[in-house]
Amino acid sequence: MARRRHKKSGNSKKDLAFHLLLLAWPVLQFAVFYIYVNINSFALAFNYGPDAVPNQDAFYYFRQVFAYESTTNSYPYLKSALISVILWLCSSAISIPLALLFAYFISRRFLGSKFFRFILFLPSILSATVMIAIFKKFNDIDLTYFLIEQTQSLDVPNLLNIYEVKTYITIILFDCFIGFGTTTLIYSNKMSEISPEIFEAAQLDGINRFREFFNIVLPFTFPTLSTFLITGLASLFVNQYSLFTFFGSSIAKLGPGPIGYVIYSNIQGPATQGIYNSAEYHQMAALGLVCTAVIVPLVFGTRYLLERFGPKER
Amino acid sequence: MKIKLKKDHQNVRRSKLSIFPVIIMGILILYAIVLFALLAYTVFVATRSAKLTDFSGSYFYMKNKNFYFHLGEIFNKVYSFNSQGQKSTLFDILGNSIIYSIGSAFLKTLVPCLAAYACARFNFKTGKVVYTAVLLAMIIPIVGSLPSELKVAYGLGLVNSLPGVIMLKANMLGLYFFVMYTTFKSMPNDYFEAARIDGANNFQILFKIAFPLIKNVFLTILLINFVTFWNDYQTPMVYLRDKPTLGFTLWKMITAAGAVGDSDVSNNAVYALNMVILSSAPVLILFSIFKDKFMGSLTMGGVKG
Repeated sequence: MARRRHKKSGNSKKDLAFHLLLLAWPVLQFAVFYIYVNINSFALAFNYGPDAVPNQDAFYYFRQVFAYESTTNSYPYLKSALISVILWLCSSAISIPLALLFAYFISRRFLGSKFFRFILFLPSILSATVMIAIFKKFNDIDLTYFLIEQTQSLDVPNLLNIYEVKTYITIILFDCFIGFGTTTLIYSNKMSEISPEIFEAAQLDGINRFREFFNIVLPFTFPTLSTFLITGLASLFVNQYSLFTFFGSSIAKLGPGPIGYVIYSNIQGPATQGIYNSAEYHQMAALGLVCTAVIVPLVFGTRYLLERFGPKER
Repeated sequence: MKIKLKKDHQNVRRSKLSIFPVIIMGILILYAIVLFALLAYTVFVATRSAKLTDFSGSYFYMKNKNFYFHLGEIFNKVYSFNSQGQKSTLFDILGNSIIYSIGSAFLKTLVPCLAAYACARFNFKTGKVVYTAVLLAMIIPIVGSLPSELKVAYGLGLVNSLPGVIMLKANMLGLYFFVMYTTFKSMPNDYFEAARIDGANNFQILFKIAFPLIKNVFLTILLINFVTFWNDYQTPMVYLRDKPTLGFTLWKMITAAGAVGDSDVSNNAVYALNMVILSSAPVLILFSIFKDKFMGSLTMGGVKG
């Protein structure tokens, strides 16, 4: 006898009352902290409403964003946007292929796969703050002194205290290092859904592990990969790449930093001093709105292209 | 979005090594060595002398042969003052972390669970509207709403209040709504119908039928949320500046962003790494007990809006 699974309640007034009772808090919370917050964000950006700054018109903060000026800093926002794109590209180029390779190793249960699964997940359990605290102390004190004593030179570069590019490389590598856990786990769980018979048939046909990975595993994992690509792209202007955790709001030597970092550090500054009506909030809201207008079509366009031209889930 | 929870790694035989997996294994071994070196370094330095003169200029603290135990000491040395000049000891800071993490994790799990149940098990249009709203909120990336959120939270008096910030976090949005929705939807209707025939009301069905069936998924999500909130320092920094948490205090120690206690505590690697051990211990204990639940098999398919 076929089992009925999806038949739902929904016939009586009692059911409706209970249904609405369950949804009351979630909907109220959503209405205030999503809908109203985003409407208020528009009001802040367009300098409208009770918090409007006098003597400034509706597009004042947008003009500042498009003129690549800042009320508090002397760097252009365009550079921040470019840094966001470069960091996302570099981070994706390192972390996605490695996560897929690690996931393949774990899902095919090669020697030590359980141990490596645990090892890769460990930094996800410990916080980024903990991992960065360890790395910063190791780098600032011991690595630096070790290199000074070994090279007999005081001209030793500190990986986190030098010019832009090398510091960014260090941070990107470290950010990838601590970020493999969840993605590798999800990829490997997806890969372990592939039927063992497929691998056996492939081995009988004489294909090697390299081709097994590229011809069988990768196409099967593509829907999950595309989801990660889309969510990664969606966070393009939100991701701080651990910069705030490393340096707080003082990264003068690094220059502007990515958009996510710029927005957060400009808001955090007044907030930690108890100031909740700063002019910077208007500018950050305008910057956020411009970034949203850029990223939404990008995300939906990428999603369309991946679904249209990418391999289909079998 | 197609998401499901599944049993993992069953009935898969161990594969033979060849050059391709050996290369991957080499990278993984390198990864493990670096990770273990950093963790061993933490324990080593955290148990050396904390006097600056004892380790100044010596790498790996080799001049400090003696073993020191500082975990008790940091409870006297680490503290902070709020904007009214009141002192928060490390016990207070620990208490704030526990209340913030447990409260936020519980409500951040319960609220999507109730919303998902209402959408999955009842056939009303409001359920479909809520489902679509959660999906849209998830796939539309909104940048820069934090200033507005902060102003709204301040206007509602939620800032610097632990219950207030917990309420701020108690929303239904995110991936786990869909995990729970899928789980509730796949439950056989027979249980629910039998309960109704026996005269059970909606509350009894929810608490006696639905919750027991979803408890494993609920516990997994609760644990993940707990670790997320325990490790979160940015929300407490902005919303709870007078009620510091452990994560926020540790962040202040590593960035020298503010006083964290006695003058010799700031910029002292030994005390900072003892704080690292203190703040990592609860999550590591939880992880060792619930390892399978943490790594338990979240599978994600493609986005099907």
